[in-house]
Amino acid sequence: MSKDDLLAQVLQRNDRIQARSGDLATNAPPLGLERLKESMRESAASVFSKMCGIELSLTHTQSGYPKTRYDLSGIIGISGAFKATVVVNVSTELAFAIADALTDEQPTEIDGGLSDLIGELANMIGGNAKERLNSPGLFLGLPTVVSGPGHCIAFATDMKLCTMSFDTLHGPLQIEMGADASRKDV
Amino acid sequence: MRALVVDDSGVMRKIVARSLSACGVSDIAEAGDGREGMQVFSSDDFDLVITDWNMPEMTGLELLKAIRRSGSNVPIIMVTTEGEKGKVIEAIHAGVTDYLCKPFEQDELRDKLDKYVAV
Repeated sequence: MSKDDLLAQVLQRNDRIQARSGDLATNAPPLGLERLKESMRESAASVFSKMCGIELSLTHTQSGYPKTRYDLSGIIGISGAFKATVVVNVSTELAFAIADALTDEQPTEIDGGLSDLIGELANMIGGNAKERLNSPGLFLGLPTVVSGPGHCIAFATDMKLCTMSFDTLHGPLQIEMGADASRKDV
Repeated sequence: MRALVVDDSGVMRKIVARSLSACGVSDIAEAGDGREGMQVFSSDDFDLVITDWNMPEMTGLELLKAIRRSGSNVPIIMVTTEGEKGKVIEAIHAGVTDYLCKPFEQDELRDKLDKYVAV
């Protein structure tokens, strides 16, 4: 494959993603929590569907922290032109189903392998959402994973928070987002 | 055929290795970051390298540049969340052979690998 063909192939894919996410529309919201929320919702749906064959159903969205947190959290940071932290919080039963779909393995407990899987999931969702934000100067950090019943994650106090809750055939999922509230458009 | 899979995620290494096996490649070496990847690459002959971009210690792009600097023309496929035009151009200039953005369907990865396994 020539260099031009390779570049064209990747850019065609990007155009498809951005056209679907509405970024090419003139009424795209400014870079802020609302746009991050939409990008994360679309990205999570795409990652779960493409990689795991699992369909997500958004049940509700609320501002602030979730009332409860499931046992596994993959945390990813976005920095640069827009600062945000995203927590992909997964129930144990859903994590088991993801492991089965991705690796053909059937774990029975939360271990290093399952934590690694949730970290990669957060990485893919964050990376794909960054693309959908379609804004220059954004950087994605490496994922961190926290696990265990009742684990605590605190966002920076100057962040505006939002939680999206999803259901799947295999168990629930939450995506928590904190965006830098010092930006006028957040 | 001997393939090297470089990714800091064990899950992603398993996914790629499983696809390679489905394409008939059973001789697969793995490394958890670019530095380890270069060490493994230098210690043996490989016919195909599949690498992530964002990894601790040494990135996939740095690994790609190091392999090309060593004089090797081995096919290198970048499998990454980095899909921005600037990043893709950077990888192309560094000598990447093919590029697959995450998320992907397993068939997309197999189709991509098949092209190089069949050669």
